[in-house]
Amino acid sequence: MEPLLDVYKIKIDYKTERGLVRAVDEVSFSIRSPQNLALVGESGCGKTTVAKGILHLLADNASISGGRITFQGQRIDNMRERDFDRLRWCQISVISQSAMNALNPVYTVGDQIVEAIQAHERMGKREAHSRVRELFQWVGLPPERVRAYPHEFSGGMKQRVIIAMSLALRPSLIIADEPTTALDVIMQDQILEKIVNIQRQSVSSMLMISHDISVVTEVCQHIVVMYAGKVLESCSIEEFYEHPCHPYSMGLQMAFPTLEGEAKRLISIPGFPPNLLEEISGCLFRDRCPFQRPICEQIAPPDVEVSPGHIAKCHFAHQADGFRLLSAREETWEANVA
Amino acid sequence: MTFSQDTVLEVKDLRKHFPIRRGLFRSFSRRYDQQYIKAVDGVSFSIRAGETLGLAGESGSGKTTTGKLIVHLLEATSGMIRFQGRESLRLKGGELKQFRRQVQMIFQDPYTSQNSRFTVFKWVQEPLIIHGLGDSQWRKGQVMETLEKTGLKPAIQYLHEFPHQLSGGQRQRLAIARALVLQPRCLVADEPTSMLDVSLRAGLIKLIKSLTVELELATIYISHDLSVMRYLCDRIAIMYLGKIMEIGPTERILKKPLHPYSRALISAVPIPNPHTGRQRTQIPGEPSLLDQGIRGCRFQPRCPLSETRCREEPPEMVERKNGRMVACWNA
Amino acid sequence: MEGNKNAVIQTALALWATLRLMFRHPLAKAGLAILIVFTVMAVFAPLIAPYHHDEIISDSSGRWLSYQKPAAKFWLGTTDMGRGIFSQIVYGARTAFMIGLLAALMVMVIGTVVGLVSGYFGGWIDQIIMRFVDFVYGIPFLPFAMVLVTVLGGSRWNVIIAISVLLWRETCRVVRSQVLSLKERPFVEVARSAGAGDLRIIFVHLAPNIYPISLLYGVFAVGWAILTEAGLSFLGFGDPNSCSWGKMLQMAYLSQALSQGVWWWIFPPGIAIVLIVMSTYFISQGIEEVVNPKLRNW
Repeated sequence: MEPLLDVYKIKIDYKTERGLVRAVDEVSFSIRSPQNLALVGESGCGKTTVAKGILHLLADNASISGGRITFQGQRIDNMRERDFDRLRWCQISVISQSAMNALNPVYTVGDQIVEAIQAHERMGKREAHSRVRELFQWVGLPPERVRAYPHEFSGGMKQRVIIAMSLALRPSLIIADEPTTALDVIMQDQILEKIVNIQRQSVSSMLMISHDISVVTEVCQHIVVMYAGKVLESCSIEEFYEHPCHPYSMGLQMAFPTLEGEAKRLISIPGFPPNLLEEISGCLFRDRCPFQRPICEQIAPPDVEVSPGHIAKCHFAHQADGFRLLSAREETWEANVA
Repeated sequence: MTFSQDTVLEVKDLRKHFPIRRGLFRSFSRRYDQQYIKAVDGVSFSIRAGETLGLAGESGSGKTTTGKLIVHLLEATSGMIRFQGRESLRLKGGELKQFRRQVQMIFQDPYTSQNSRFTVFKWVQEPLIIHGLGDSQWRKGQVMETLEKTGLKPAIQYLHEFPHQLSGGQRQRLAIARALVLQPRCLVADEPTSMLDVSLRAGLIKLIKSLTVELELATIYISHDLSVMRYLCDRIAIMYLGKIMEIGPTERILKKPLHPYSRALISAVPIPNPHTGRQRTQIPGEPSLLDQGIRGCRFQPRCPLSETRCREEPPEMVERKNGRMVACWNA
Repeated sequence: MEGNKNAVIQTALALWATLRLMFRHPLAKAGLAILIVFTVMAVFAPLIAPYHHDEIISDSSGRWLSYQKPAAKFWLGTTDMGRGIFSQIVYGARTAFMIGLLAALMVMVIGTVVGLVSGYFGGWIDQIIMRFVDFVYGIPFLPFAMVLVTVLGGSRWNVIIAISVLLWRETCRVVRSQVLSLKERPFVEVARSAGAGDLRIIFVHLAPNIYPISLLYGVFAVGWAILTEAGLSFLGFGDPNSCSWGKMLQMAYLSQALSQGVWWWIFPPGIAIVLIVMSTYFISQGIEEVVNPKLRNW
């Protein structure tokens, strides 16, 4: 079965005053319905830029300079705006972090969703309103609140309205960019649960973008780890936790405090992400990697298929087992502090 | 972790009530009685040097307000705060200024908590100038030493940078440096990592932990992230709508929460492990400020264990074994 | 010192970036060009002007060369008393700048300080000051200036004072509203928690963030001041000893230049006033581009 969304060797460049910045460098991944894929990485790694590239929302000084994006078999990266507009909301919708602030304060939320529906589908007002009430039930909001104004909702409820809006036209793909970052932990939990339930019912896929791997763990089946514009590891969620093959993935897991397991084990990956304006030879992660070897500086690491569906961009991907044991110890990472 | 036996900070029955402003006409009406938002409503705890106490709760719980009350950025409505044995609530003038040397706060948003016109050096030096300490040579030394302690090294590289030249994580370290340059005894950290990437948080929390131990600070860590608090805090107080629901050693509370709200909060934390089928304790609704007007327990409208008694009487803090205290009729 | 170099470099870079941004706007570029022309005129007046502004030009036989039309010899012609108009324009630029800049400076200082104090303290201090500002707003500008000059005497300084005394109200209002929003920022709380007193917070912490908007209104004030000075001089309330464009218009008017068709006496000063005031407005457009997005991003 062909994938719902296929991103193939996408390159996105930004024109800045100081030169061309390659924000996304040959990023590939694909989503097969009904699976969910998580795109994770630090701020500035390019994950949001990829999403913007998919949605034709890149800034004026950014452009896709290579690769292709296919949706339901059709190429969309070079699609005309008019044609892509037909896909928006109907086939591909978006939940973003600050979307709740984009609600128009002078219209009721019900009206806003109805307007969005009617802009993309031929539907009478009554039918649209009943769809909105149905959506409210899906996201756990009382249907009477359809007639309320945005300021009468709390942050968590507004985010649910946004989710409802994104589902209004039953899209096949939902792109969620840090959908729960601004919420309290109990609200976040409720919303994540709702998202999972809804997806089960509507058979849609989600591309979830986050810097928090604990949040994506429960929602997504596949994970893509990005760093400085490149994909460092791509595998299933189970593989990510049981057999991470890239030192960065290992470091990420160690950098997250959790309620489970050993209490006092926490490392911070030393150093900072590289400046993309500078030319860096070899592996972009090597300065921060505790397992750096000379080859890492000389040759850019290839994509190594460690097992079917599991790719890691590291010269030593096949020796990951040894690294894994070492990476679980704080001293390994602390020794690397320059 | 070594403890000194002296209690650095003691808080008893602290309250902060914000009046809700009514319209002009209503305030002249005879039946007008002032309504309040009881942001902090009877909070008590104590903390020793070298210890980290966590104030956990969702938004609206009053944890940030409590922090600001301790640092004297807000005036308490009633209650008592004792700092190093001396009453600190009603300090004014010179005594207040002296107090400020001892208690410092770092804030959540690294992008607005520095003055964008001040260089790193000027900003960290500022508290020293305000209190008239040392000469410019000495001050420079202090600033550099403090910067290095917070991981901004070599300090000389950072001295004359402006905040916008630094990353979020670096700016938080700058905030810590500024707070510590006066060598305070108590540090209040208000969600310092919530606006940073999760992968950067580890560096900052480890820093706070090592500084707390090294400088024997009494640290109050305010957050809603229980995973971080598990690493960092020796004890946790779980707050809800202005009151503490439960307080005690961190591991004990996280492993065996006594209060139904604690249970719900803990179960809501996502675990980065695909094989954990965690038991979600779903509680309906959201914390609402209207619940403050309830006669009984504030959590009662959402509580799965609520009974008649919970609606009538607000539960008192009851001491349990192992230094724990809970406020619940059913715990 | 080694380290201070970065502060200087950064500030210089920031300034340069700001200036470039300011003058990206085509209007600002035009304004700057005009202003540069007038500045050169003002600074190098004795070198540029062929004659002194009071100098009566006479021919070989000693007769005044009055009412000469613009020609190669006298670029803008002469007045009724044989004074070179071009020269007067050039020297008039000096007066315009002097009065404009000084008045604007006073306006900036008074308006900023009052706005800072009023906005920061709030409460009854703010109320009293703002009611006073309301009162000042109610005073008609030109008549008041005229009265003040009559009372104090018609010298340059009195003209500057007369202008500044009322013009600060605009700056004050704007600065105050800036302060109202800035004082809620966390960095102010941080300064307070470090022990900073109110005065320190106002003048060391808040003020540096206010300078951009102060400057913006300072530039406006230059335009207004020059305009007002021209008006005062035209009405006869200016400094009788200085040469200003307003005074030129007054002289022209008194000699009934209009009815006599002596257009070369009337247009140049008028156009000069319009041009220089316009240039300050154009430049302020550029400044607003800088100030406003910054206001939003802070």
